[in-house]
Amino acid sequence: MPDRAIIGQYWPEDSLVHAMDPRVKFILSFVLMAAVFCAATPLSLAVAALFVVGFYAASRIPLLQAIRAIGPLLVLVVLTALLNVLFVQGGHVYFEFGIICISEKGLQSAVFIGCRLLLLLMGMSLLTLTTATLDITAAFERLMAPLSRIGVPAHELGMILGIALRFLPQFMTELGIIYCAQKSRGAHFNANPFRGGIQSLTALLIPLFTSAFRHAETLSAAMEARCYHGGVGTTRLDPLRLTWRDAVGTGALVLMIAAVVATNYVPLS
Amino acid sequence: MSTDVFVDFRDAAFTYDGEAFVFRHLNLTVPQGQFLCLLGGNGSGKSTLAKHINALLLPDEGEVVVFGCDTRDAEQTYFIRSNAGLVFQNPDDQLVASLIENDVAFGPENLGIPNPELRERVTRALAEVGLQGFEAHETNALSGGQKQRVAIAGVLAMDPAILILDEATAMLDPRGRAGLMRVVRELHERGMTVVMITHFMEEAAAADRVVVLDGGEVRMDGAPEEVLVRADELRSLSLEVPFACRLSLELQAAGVPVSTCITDDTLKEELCALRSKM
Amino acid sequence: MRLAFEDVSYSYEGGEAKKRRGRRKKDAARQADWGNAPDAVWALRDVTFTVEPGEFFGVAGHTGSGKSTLIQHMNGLVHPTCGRVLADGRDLAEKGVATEVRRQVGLVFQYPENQLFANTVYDDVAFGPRNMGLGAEEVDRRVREGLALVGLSFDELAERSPFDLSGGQQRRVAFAGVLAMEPEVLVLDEPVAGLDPLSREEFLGLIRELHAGGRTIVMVSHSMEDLAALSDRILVLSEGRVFRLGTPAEVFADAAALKAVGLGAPAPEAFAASLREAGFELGRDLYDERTLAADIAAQLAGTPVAAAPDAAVGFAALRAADAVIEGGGDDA
Repeated sequence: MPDRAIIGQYWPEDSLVHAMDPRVKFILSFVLMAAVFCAATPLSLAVAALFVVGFYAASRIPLLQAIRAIGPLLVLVVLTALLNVLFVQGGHVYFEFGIICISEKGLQSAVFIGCRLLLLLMGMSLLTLTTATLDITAAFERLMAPLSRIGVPAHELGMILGIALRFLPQFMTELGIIYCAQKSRGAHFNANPFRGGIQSLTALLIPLFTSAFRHAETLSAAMEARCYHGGVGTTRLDPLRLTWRDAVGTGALVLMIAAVVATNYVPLS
Repeated sequence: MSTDVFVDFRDAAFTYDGEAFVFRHLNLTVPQGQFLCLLGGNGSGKSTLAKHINALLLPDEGEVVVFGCDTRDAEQTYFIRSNAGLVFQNPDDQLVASLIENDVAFGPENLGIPNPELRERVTRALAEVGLQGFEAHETNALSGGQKQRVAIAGVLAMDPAILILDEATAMLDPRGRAGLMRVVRELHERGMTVVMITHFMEEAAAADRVVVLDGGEVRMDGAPEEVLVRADELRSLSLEVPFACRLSLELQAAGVPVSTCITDDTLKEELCALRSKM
Repeated sequence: MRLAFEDVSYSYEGGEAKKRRGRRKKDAARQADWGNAPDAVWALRDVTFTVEPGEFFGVAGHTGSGKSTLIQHMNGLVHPTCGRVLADGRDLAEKGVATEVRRQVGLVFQYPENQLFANTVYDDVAFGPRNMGLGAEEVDRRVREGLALVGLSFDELAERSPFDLSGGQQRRVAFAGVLAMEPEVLVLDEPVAGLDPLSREEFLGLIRELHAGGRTIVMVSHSMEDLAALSDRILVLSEGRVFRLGTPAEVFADAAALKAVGLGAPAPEAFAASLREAGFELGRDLYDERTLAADIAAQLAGTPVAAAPDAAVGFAALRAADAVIEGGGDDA
C-alpha cells in the first residue's frame, strides 16, 4: 500500500525538514521529545502542539497521514488516557459505579497525558517520516563514530541496522506466505497454544529463520563480491553536510523549548 | 590486446569438505571480449567455478589466474573482485540497501571512489541497465527482473572487465528474463566479457561459446552451433535441447533436408528457402 | 469437487473488503461497483469460471496479473471483495466452510520447500493430517502414501531431517505434506520454478500421474509449453481480468494477443505462426514438434496438409457457457 504512511516508513517529499542533515534531525528529535516533556501546563502543551504542527507543515506531510502513521500505537495513547481517567481522582465526580469513578481531575489528566503522548509519538515519527532509513543509519553511524575509538564497532552497527531495515519488509512478505501455506495445511494459529498451537508456531518460525539464514549466507557472499571490507577507506554517495536548513531547524527547536518553558510559568486564570 | 586471456583455470581442483572434489584438473580459459555460456545440471560445479573467478573461493590445487593475477594473492583480491563482477541467482539476496542509488553505490564506496565520480558511476550504471531516473526508488518495490538489473548496475558501478552471471535469470518470469538478456547482450556488444551460467538454451544460443560441465569436468566446449546440436549428448547430461534443434531433427526424420539449427530464425530461413525452390 | 468463481473481484483494501462482504449478504448484490471505490487496488476483477471435477486447469499470466491472489481464493485463504467462490455450491465465505474445504483443496505454494519446518520428514508430512485431527494409525498410513505418491522411499527418508535433502527431494517432501491430506483438488503455484531441466521433467511427470490418479489439478505456470502439454483448459489472466479461457488450441490461436499481455505461445505454436506469416499453410489448431514437423514435411512435399480440428470436446458445452458469462460481465 504505497499511498499509506506506516510508522517508521519514509514519506518522500521535497521540504525543508526532509533536506536537513539526518544527524541534526536525529539529535533534534530527542530535543523535541524533551521539549514536549517540559510542558507542564495545558497552555504550554498547546504551545508545544503548535510547534509540532508547524514542523509537520514545514515538512509538507499531511497531519492526517501523520496520525495514521502512528496507527497501532494510538492504542497506547487511548489506554494511557483510560488509565488516567480511572486512577486519577479529585474534583467534581461525573459518574460512579462500583470501583469505577470518573472525576473532573481524572478527565483533565487523561486529556493532558493523552495529548502529551500523542505529541511525543508524532515527534518521533517526524524523524522516520522525513528521513530515509539509510540516512538514519548513516546518521546513527556517524554520531557513534567517536565511540569507535574506544572499541565500539560503529560502522558495523550501522551496517547491521541498514541491512535489518532493508530486509524487514521482505521478511514480512515471506512470513505472510508461510502463514498462508501452513494455514492451507490445516494449521490453526488461534487455537489453544498448548494443544497443537505451539507446533503451528514453530511451523511459522522455523521456515522464517531458515530463510533468514539462507539470505544471510548469500548476502554475505554478495557483499564480499562487491569488495566489502568494513568501514576503512570507504567513501559515501551522499556525504552528510550541514546547511542553513539545519541552523533554521535548530533555531526553531530552541525557540520551542524557550516558549514551552516560559508558558509553564504563565498562571492559569 | 584482444587476445588477452582474462580468466585461466590451470589444472585447478576444489573441494568444500576435503574429500569430494567439486572439480579436479580443470583447465579453462576465457579470452577478453568473449560471451561464454556455462551449462550443466545441478551439482556440475558451475556455481563453484563462478565463485573462483572473483576470488570468493580459492583453488585447493592448481591455480586460477584472473587478469594475470593469481587469485590466492591476497593483495590482489579487491583488484580482482572489482574487475570480475558477480551477480547471483536470487534477486532478494544480494541487494544491500533500501534505496536503489545506495545499493548501486555500495561497490564503488567500498573501493573508496570519491564524489563526484561516485555519483557519475551510479548514474551511468543505472542508465546501462535501463533504469535511469530510478535512483531514489525503494528496492523492495521492484519486480524480480528489475532487482536483478539493479544488482547488475551495482556490479557495473565498480567498472568491471568481466560480468559473471550465476543463474541470474533462473528465478525470473519470461518477461524479466528477456529484459535481463537484452541488457547483457548490449553490454557485451560494447565490449564486456561475459561469463553466463544458465540452463535456458535460448540464452546459450546467443553466446559466442558454450561450455558444458558435468561432474566438474568440461564435457563439451565450442560455438553454440557446434555444441547445442548434439541432442543425445545434451540429454544424457540432463540438459535441454533447444526447440529449433528438436524440430530440425524431427524434420530430418520426416525427410526434410534441413541442417540442425539452434535458433528459430535460422530454421525458418532454411524452410523458406526450401519452399521457394518448390 | 467443483470450484466455481462467480464475478469475483478482490481489492487489497482489507477493511473495505469486510464491509462490502457484509453489505453483499444483505442486499445480495454481487455486481462489482467500481464507482464506489475508485482508489482501491483491484487484484481481481469480475472473474468467472468453473473448475470441473477431474479437470486439469491451467492458469497463465505474467507477474502481477493476479494469479497468486486467484489461487488463494480457492481454499478460502482470502475471500472476494465482491462475488462468490463456491465449492460444490457452498460459499467459501460462510463460516466454517473454508476450514472444511481446505481439507479437500490442497494448495502447494511457490518454492514449497521453503515452508518445511519439522525435525524429520515424517513429522513434516504428518503436519497436515495431524491438524485434521486424525488418529496415529491413519496419520501413519497417509504419510506412507504421501511419500509413495511423490516417489520417495519411506524407509530411507522418514526419519531424516528434511533440511539435509537435496532441493528436488525437499520439494517432493513438501508435495507429500499436501498430498497426505488427500485433497480432491490440488492447486499448484509454479510447481517447477527454479528446477533444472531434468528435475523439471520428473516433476511434470509426477503431476501428470497425480492427475491420472483422479485428482483435479489447477496449475499456475509461466511455461506455455507445460500448460499446453498438460491442461484441458487454460485461463489467462491479465491485470486481474479473465483475458482468455478455453482449450490450449483456442487460447494459443491468437499469439499476437497473448504477446500484448506479456505472454508467449508455446514454442511449436509460435514457430508455426511465424511460418504462416511466411506463407506456409499450417492448418492444425495446436502443434507439438512432431505434428509440426509432419505438416511442414507434407507442405514441402506438395501434399495438402490435413486439417485436424479434433480438439477435445468434453468441455465444449462448458466453454460456451463461460463465453456467455464472459461476454456479459465485461462491461466495466
